[in-house]
Amino acid sequence: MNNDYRMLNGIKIAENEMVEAEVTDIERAALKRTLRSKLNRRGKKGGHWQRNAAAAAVLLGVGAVALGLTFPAYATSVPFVGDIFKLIDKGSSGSGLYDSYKENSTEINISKTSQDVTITLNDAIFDGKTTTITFSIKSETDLGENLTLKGYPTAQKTSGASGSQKIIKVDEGRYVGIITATSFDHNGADSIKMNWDIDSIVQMDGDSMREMKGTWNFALELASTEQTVQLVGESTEHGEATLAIEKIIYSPMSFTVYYGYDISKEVAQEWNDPDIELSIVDNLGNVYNGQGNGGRGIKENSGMKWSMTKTFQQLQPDASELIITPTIVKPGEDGQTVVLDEIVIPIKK
Amino acid sequence: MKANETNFVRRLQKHKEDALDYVVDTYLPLVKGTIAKVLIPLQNNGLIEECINDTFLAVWHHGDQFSGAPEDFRKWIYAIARSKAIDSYRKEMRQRERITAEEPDFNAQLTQSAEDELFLAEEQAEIKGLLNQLEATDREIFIMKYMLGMRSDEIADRLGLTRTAVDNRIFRGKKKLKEKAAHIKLGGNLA
Repeated sequence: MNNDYRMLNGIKIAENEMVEAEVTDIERAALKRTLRSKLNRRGKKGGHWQRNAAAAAVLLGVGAVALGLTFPAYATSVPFVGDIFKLIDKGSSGSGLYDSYKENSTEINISKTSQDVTITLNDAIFDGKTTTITFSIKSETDLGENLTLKGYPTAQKTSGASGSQKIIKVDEGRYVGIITATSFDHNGADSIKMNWDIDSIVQMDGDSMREMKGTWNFALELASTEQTVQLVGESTEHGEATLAIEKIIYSPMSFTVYYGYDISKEVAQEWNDPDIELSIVDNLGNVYNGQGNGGRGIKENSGMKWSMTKTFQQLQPDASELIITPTIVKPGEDGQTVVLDEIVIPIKK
Repeated sequence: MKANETNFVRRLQKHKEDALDYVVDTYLPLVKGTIAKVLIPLQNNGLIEECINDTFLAVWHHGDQFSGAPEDFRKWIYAIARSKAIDSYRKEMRQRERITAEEPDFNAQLTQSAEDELFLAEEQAEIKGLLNQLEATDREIFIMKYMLGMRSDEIADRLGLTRTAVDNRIFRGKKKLKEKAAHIKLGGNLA
C-alpha cells in the first residue's frame, strides 16, 4: 500500500484527544524485538536496512586498517535495553529491588566470544557481600526461549558462595540476564576479585535440554559501594526455633540483613527443614521487597545453625525504624507457617 | 551517538536503529492508547498489537514524510496510529458484516452510509492521491473524517467552522472526487 503520511502533517489535533496507555518495559522490549525481526526480514530482500549495514561495514573496515587496530575485545555492544537490572526485575518478581542498582553500578562492557556466541558483561555491583552482574548474550543462531549459563562467578579467597541467575530473551538470538553471587566469607568487604568461567550454555525447551560447550572466561575486580554497618544483636524465639538479627549493612541502592537461626533437631525433622523468611516495613509504612541470598548451616549439638543474608530495596531516607517480621515456613505445598514476634530496629546509619 | 529529543527525527530519517528505539520508548504509550481507544470494542488484542506494529513500521519506512519540529512528531505519530486503527476497525467490521449481516446495530459507532461507500476504496492509493486535489481546508476535513474517523461536529469544533459548513464541504468534496475518480476508472467502488 502506497501510503502518503505527508498528509498527516499539521493536522489540528487537540491535546485532550491524545490519550496514553500504560506500557511496561517488557512490552517495549517485546515491540522492539518484533520490529527488528520484521525489519531484518525486509533487509534480506535488499531493503534500506541491508544497504546501510553494508555501507557501515565498509567504513568500519577502512577505519580499522588506517588505525592499525584489530577488533577490540571490549565491544560496546550496548543492548537496546537500557537498564537490565530493572528490566529483569519487572519481568520476574516485579519487586523493585533493583530500581537503584543501575545508577550505582560500574559499567563493565567486556565481551568474550566462543562458538559464535558472544557474552558481554554489562554492569556489576558489589555491596560488600553480594556481587550482582548484568550480562547480554548475542548468538548468530537463536538459542530458544530458556537459557541457563553453567559456571558461576567465584570469589577468590572464599570457602563458597550462593546465588541465582535469571535470563530473558529480548530478540532473536539476543538475551539479557542477571546473576548474583553471595560469598560466604565476604562480610562488608571493601573489594572483591571474581572469576567467572562459563563453560556451557544450557537450552531448556519443554522437557528437552541441549548443551552448547564453549569457553567464556571473565575476571573482574570490584570495589564495594559505600557501606554503613549497624550491629543489631536482637533475637526472637518460638518453641525451639530462635532467630537473631546480627547486623544490617546499608548501601546506596539497597540494604542487607544478616541473620541467623537455630532450629532444634526435633523441630527441624517435624517441619521438614523449614526456612525462616523475613518481611520488613518501616515506621512510615513503606514495604521493602527483598531477595534471599541463601547462606550456610553448621550442625550443632541440638540441630542446625544457619547464617543467612537477605537484600532489600533501597532504604527510604525518612524512615527511622525497621520492623522485621520473621516467619517460619515449612517447605512444600501446604505452606504451613508460624509468624514470630516482630523485631523493631531503630535505624542507625 | 544516541537518539535524543532533538536529533531523533534526523536519525530516524537516516534509518538509525537507536532512533526507532527512542520512538518506541517515547511514543508507545500514546500509540497504544490511541489504537486501543478505537479497537477495544472489537475485543481483539491481536488486532491492537498488529496496528501498533504497523504504526511503528510506517514511521520507520516513511520517516522522511514527516515535516515539522520534533515536538510536532507527537501529533504526526498520533494521526498515523489513529488512521491505522480506523482502517483496521473498518476492515474488521466489513468482515463481520459479511458474516453477520443481520446485526446492523453492531456497527453503530462508525456507521457507513451508502455515500460513504466511496471511501471504502480509500485504501487504494488513487483515492489518497486524489485528496491532494482538494483545497487545504477540504483536505483536512476529509483526512479527519475518513482517515481519523472523526465526527462532523468534532471537525467543526476543531476548525472553527459550523457543522453545516463541514457537511457542505464534505458533500462538495465528494462530488469533486467522484468526477476526478471517474477519470481513473475506479469503477465499481464508485457506484
